[in-house]
Amino acid sequence: MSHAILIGESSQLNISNMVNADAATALASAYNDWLVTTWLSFDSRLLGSAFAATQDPIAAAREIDRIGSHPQIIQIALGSGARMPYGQRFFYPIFEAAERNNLAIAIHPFTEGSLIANPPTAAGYPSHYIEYHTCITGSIQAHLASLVFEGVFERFPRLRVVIVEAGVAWIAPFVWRMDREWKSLRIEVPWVKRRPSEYVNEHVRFTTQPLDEPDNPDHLVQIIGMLSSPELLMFSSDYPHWDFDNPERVLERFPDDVQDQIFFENAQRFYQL
Amino acid sequence: MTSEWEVGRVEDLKPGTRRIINVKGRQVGVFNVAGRFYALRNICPHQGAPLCEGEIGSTLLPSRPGEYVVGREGEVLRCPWHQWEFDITSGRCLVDSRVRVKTFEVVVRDGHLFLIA
Ligand code: FES
Repeated sequence: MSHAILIGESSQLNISNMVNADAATALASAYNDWLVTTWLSFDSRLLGSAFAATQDPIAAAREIDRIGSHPQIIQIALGSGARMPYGQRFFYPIFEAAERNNLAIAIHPFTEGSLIANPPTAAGYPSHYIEYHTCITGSIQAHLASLVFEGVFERFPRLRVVIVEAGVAWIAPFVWRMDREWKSLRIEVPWVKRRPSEYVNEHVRFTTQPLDEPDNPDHLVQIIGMLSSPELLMFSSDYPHWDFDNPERVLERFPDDVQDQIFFENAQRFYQL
Repeated sequence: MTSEWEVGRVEDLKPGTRRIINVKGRQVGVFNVAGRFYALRNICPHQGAPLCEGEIGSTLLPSRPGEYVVGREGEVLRCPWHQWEFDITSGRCLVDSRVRVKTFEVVVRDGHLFLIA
C-alpha cells in the first residue's frame, strides 16, 4: 500500500456544528496540528484531511492557508450535516482557499441533525439510528445538487469534491435526474452551461463504502456499470467503524482492471499522487 | 476424511463461554450453550470477520411494533464487524437462514470434548 488517506470522524465532523464559531475555529486548528504531529509525521504514506470551521468561512480560509501547505494534507473535510446546502455563496471563501491550496473538498455524511445542523431528513427526525443511517444519502444528494446548480464548478473551475462513504448505488440515477431537470429548467440557472453529469465527471469523485448488497451480487456490478465511468469511484474502508468494508471481499466480483482503478488508480489521479 | 480433534476437558469450557481452536490449519470456535456443545468455523459468511470472537448473548425476538422481547439468551453470536446475528446452535444467520457459517459436530467422551472435522 503506497498511501492511506485519513479522515476524522464524528467529533471532528461536528466542529462545524458547534454553536460558538470562535471555539470551533480554534478546535479545527488544534485538531489539524494534532493530525500532523500524531499521524502524518509518523509515516509519510499517511495523508490527511484537515478540518475548517464553516461557521466563519473567512477564518476557515485562513486555517486552510495555514495548514494547506503541509505536503501530506490533501483535502478539507466537511460533514454533510450543515445549516445550508454547500453550493451557497456563504461557503465560497472555503472553496476559494481549497482551490488556491490545491486541496480537494471531502464531504462525509454523519453529522445531520447534530447541534446546529439541520434535521437529518427533510421529513424530520427519525426515531431510530437504522432509519437515520439508511437515509444519509439524502443530505449528500442535496449538497451535490447545490454544488452543481449554484455553479460552484463554474466559479471554481479547479475545485475537486469527493463524496465520502455515502454509498454508490444511487449515483447513476441521481445524475440522470439532474441531467433531465437541467434540460427543462436550466433557464433558472443559466450559468450551468453544461450537463450536470459533465460537472460531476470532471469535478466529483465518490468513495465506495458502504457498498450495497443486493441479493444478486451481480446487480451491484451492473449498477456501477451504469456510471459514466468507473473512474468516478475510489475505495474507502470506513475502518475502524462497525460498518466498514473489507477490501479483500467487497470488490471481488469486479473485473481486475476495474478493481485496480477503484483501489488505487483513480485516487492516484484525483489526488495527483 | 473426517477425524476427531480433542478440544479439551468439558469442565474447562463453562456454559456461556467459547474456545477457538486450530483444526487442520483452520480456526473453529467451540461453544458451550447451557451445557450443550457447538462448533462453528471462525469466518463470517458476510465479509470474513473472525465471527467466533463476537459477543455471545441474546437477541430481541420479532415482536409487535413498540414491543421489545428479549429471547434466546446465550444462543446468539453477534459478528464483531457488521453485527449480523447467528444462531450458535445451527450456524444460521437469524435474518436469512440461507446465510450460514459452517458447523461441526462436537462429542463428549470421558469428560473430554472432541470435534469431528
Ligand atoms: S463480516 Fe460478519 S457481519 Fe460482516
